[in-house]
Amino acid sequence: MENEKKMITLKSSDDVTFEVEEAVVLESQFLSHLVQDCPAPEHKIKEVTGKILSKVVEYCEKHVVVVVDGGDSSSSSGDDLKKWDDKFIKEMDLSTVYDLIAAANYLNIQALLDLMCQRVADVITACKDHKEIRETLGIVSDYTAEEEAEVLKENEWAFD
Amino acid sequence: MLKTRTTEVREMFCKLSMEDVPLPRELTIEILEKLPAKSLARFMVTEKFWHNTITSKRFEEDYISLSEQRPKILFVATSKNESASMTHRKFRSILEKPVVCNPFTAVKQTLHATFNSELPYVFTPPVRDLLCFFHNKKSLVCNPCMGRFIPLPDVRRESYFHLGLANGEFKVLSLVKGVYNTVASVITLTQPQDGNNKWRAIDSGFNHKSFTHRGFCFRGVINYAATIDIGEHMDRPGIMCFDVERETFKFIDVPREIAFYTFFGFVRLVNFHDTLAVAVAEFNGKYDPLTIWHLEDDKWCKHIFQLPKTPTVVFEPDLLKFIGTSGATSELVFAPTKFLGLDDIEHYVVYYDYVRGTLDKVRIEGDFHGFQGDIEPFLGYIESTALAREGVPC
Repeated sequence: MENEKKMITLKSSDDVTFEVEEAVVLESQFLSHLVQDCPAPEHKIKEVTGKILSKVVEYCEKHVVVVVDGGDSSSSSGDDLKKWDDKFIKEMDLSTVYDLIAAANYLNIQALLDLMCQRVADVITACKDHKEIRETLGIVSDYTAEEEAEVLKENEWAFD
Repeated sequence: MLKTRTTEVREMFCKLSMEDVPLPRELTIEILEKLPAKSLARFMVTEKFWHNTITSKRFEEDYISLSEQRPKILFVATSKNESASMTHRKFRSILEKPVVCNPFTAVKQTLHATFNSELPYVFTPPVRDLLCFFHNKKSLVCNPCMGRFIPLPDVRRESYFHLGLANGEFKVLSLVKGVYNTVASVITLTQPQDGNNKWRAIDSGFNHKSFTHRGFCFRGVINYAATIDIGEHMDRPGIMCFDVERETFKFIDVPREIAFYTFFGFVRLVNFHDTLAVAVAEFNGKYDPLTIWHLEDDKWCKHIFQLPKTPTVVFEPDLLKFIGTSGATSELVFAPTKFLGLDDIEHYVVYYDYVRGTLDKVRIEGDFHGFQGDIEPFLGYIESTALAREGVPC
């Protein structure tokens, strides 16, 4: 048994540093490769801000601990993790979610990407019409009024 | 990891400014794949780019491969307007049983399109994501969660139709009663329709009759109740099995114990532990046992399930119907066949595990206003974006 765990320092684009265990870093495919290829003690991640990186670290730390503790991945720890995930996303505003999606994609953390995308999917599912979806995602329509009316008619049933 | 597709998309649209967009498009596609089809129908109206993406073949394939991981129960409600001149088909679906179930487990309903028609079409059970409707010389294939259908070309004679799927390709089997034999023909549903879609006559090899629209497509084979002519005006009941890929037929006798009238009135062809099975559920207003015959090495094996009678509301015979087994588990699934539009009445899908002897009730959330009439529930329904581009809006 190793008592001392290998620690790695991550530095955000705005120079906020996070000291984490190596196991936490391994949750990210991108960082695993980075750590393997370049054994420096500190890694700067230019694309992610401190605010978002703190969320990423929080998520990865939680998920590492549960996987290690669970061992046989008992269902209760799976349930707890799901509850934790639910709470984690509920406390977040959408703009943070978007930043986290970009960060999870960049760092290649599939589970976090899926979780965040599902959160946005739930928000969009709750949108009553195309206008609400546009607002949520900042989409600008390029339909002419006639074209829009036509597409709207084709999908009329979906608007109740 | 993101798929290569998103790289293509990124290259295609790198010219566009994304400063005001919170998410780049290649990441928005990840989100689209998690949306119910109804939200996709709304999403199509936001921007041309999204209309083209959602109706693309590429997206259809990606979406269905995810969708297949969340099988649903489809409910079809049939009602008529006051003068009975129009038939309304309304569709709703719910996810099959969640992994973890407790007494408060509930699932949300998804409301799909309504198909209104002047003709009193009958319809086949859903095969993956599509259903076939037919009446007289008219037939069409419908995707209820996209609200689209395509009419089948050149239906010249009154036929019975069955929908089949093998290796990702849909075919429709048409059966016309001829003077001496049933005339079978088949058409492949290629998408988009390239004009070469034509009916091809095939020899069934059996002088058989079939007047059912309730075939059961299972593992690339359309199974339907039929009788074969054994001479001297004698008919033998059985199941015709049409191999969708090879386009060949096989006939299986039904167990002798099943009476003729029962076979053509009270049985349902189901998947039982990944084998073809005949379920006999004659409720007759009381709690008869459920009998299932399943095929093992070409032999019928009989199982009788005595269902628990408590809580009483669960097996109200008029309200719940056996619809099959859930995947490879030992659970028998019972779904409502009537929805009362009353706020204080709850509706459940019931899962009875005959090995463990446990019973799980999953409540269907939301109200049922406007979802009245005859309800038919089906297992194994999958949402898809099929026909979104070429289909006619319902």
